[in-house]
Amino acid sequence: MSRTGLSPADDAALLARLSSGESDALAQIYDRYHRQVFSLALRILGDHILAEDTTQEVFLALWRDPTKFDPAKGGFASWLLSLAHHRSVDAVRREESQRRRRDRLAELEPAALMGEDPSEKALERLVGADVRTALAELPAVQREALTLAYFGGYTQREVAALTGAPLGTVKTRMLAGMRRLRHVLGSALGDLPSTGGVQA
Amino acid sequence: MSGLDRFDTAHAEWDELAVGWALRALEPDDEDRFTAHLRGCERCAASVQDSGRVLAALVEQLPLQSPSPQLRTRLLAEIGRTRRNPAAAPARVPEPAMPDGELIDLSAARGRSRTRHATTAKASRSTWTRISTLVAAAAAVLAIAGLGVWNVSLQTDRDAATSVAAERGEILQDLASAGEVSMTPLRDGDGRAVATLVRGSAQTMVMTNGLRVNDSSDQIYVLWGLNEVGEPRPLGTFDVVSGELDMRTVGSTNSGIDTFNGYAVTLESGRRAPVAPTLPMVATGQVTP
Repeated sequence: MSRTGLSPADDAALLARLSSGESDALAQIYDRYHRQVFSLALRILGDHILAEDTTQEVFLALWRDPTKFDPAKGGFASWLLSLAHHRSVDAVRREESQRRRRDRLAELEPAALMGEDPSEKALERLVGADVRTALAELPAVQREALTLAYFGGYTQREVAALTGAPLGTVKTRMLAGMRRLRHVLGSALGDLPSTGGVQA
Repeated sequence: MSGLDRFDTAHAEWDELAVGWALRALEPDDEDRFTAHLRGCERCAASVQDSGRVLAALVEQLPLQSPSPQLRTRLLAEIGRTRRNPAAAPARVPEPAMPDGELIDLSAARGRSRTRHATTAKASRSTWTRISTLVAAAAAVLAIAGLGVWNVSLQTDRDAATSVAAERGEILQDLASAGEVSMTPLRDGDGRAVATLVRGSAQTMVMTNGLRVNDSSDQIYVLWGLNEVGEPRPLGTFDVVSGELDMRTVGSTNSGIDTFNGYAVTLESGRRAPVAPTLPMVATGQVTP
């Protein structure tokens, strides 16, 4: 994780101490990564308190069982952020009641009928300027599909409803967008440890 | 060439699902299919890893914000009260779990290979040495019906997990890794326990053992929480894909899912939970003190 200026070796040493039960190791890991974890949670949840709860949940999960991270599958930073993402998405789906979620969708659907682009409005709410810049090189439809899913916590079917595209098209757009994004972010990816998948 | 970059028409659907999986955006049926596929597909594992790196890079570009300083204090205080799953606890063979309605304490289990993990003896001597194996978890699962609500302390013995999970799959691993859990049997109209709600420290799961397989294209099971007057609130959805013992995650536990007086399950038309049940409850269970 480039913003920390830390190497995978630093993480490995801390994780070894964490596995042996040293609470100070968790404190140091928290100090390194809590801003990234919190920022992602806040972006997805849009609520400071919920984002703090989720951040705490992420680090507590790490404390409970640090062996959930498998270094053979990739870097720790990416794994931790994947965990944070999954927990945040779970939380947004849980906390956002059925009514609020329907309202959120309904808020967008009339705009679509009037010829506006609902996904762009959602994008404005969900994504900050920095990330928009990183995504700018993607075709709009791919960008909106990925963004609504990742930062909005929407399922593929919900993204299809939001954008008015068939489900299969949404899936294809996500794959194509991810492939393109990998190239756009190529240099940034070089700074990241390779990552493994997460089953949070 | 990375997993994301390889084009293979025959594998195109799995490539799409891999990205959706990394985004946590799959519908339940797709997630179930892909999770099963992922276990044996190196290409998809690589795709998921690639997607994870891309998404982590996106987070790098978010404007960083800080939580309140009190969060760190709360976290460090909380870990003192949080049970850990020792990374490599000594493997033990427990007595069959025969709870009497209270805590299932498996610490009296016979030792099997206490010396195998000498370097982790410190962890094994901790206050959380109520170690169970997945064998015990299996016994607990099988003993659920008719035992009411328990508090169960389970911690994973990973060595045992390796051998037993090969036989029973990841259902038991999920249960054994759940830490402290409570269970509520859900019974059908004939009084048969056809499912059990398992509320763990981080997530809620439904173990099914008798609910009929639903059509995952246009049906879904919905878990409802019932308040003191029996009003239902949708808590999560799941599919039943096997008539045998199975376990499905239906949500997390830190949003009041454990505050209900009872729970119920309905099989609904469509793939979303309605606001209120539209069909008769197929199983119900009450939380008892």
